[in-house]
Amino acid sequence: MSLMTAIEVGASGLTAQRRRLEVLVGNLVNANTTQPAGTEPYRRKDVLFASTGPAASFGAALDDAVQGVEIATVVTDQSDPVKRYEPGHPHADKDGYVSYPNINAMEEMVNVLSATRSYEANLQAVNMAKEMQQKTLEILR
Amino acid sequence: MPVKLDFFHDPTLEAAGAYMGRLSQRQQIVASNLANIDTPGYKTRDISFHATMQELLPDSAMALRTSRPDHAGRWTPAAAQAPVFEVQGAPERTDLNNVDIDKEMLKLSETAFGYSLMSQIVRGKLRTIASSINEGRVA
Repeated sequence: MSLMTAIEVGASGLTAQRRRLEVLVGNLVNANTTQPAGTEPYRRKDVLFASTGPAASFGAALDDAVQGVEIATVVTDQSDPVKRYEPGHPHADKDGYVSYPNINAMEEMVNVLSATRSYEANLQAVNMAKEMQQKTLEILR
Repeated sequence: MPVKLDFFHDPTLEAAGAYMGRLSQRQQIVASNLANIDTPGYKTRDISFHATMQELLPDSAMALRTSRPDHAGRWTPAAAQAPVFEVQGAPERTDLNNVDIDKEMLKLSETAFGYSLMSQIVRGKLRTIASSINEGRVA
């Protein structure tokens, strides 16, 4: 059924945005995670989306047109950690500097908002398709 | 002249059915656009949505009369799926994605509204038939 396709595609968007949110929240909670000097500190992560081909149930005529979305890769930010002078910190190096992850809470919050809005948009698409199916059923009433 | 009632080849029902098919196709495409709102390089897709009534209407009293074969008005069955195109000229983000969330949301409600309207028309038409089956009593 064709409206099921709209729901499937919307659901793929919901899944992708939810996983993106998980990654972003992971960044936020690790903003202050330090590691012993000499080891790699936490680096901020982000996701890369990619369109998916249509599922097997999709109509042949729509092969390329209707595409879901998936998370292609989770990329790790390669920028340098922020060094803070905290000689008393157990993870401080010999000069007294602690490596903090390069996480900007403001930037993460903006991305979280963007993920939330996209999630809402996809949810709306699913609801509308559901409503349309309901209207079809009402024809028979 | 008696009115011929052919419930199974009713032009209104057929046109409404074809239109609803288009609307559901468009809903899928809008869902696809919204799902790919953060996909780098994805371009907004759409169908030429405003199909003419002529395209959707079967050859019947409601279709245009033609005196030459190349006149518009000859009925060809409406394709179940309209061709999909990529929207050109929309402003792109730095990741070359050009999906506009507001436009897509508008299309979403527009499509759902059109679908709702069509389903009401179909329902009304079926009620008329039910009414004639029941000799004018409301079913």
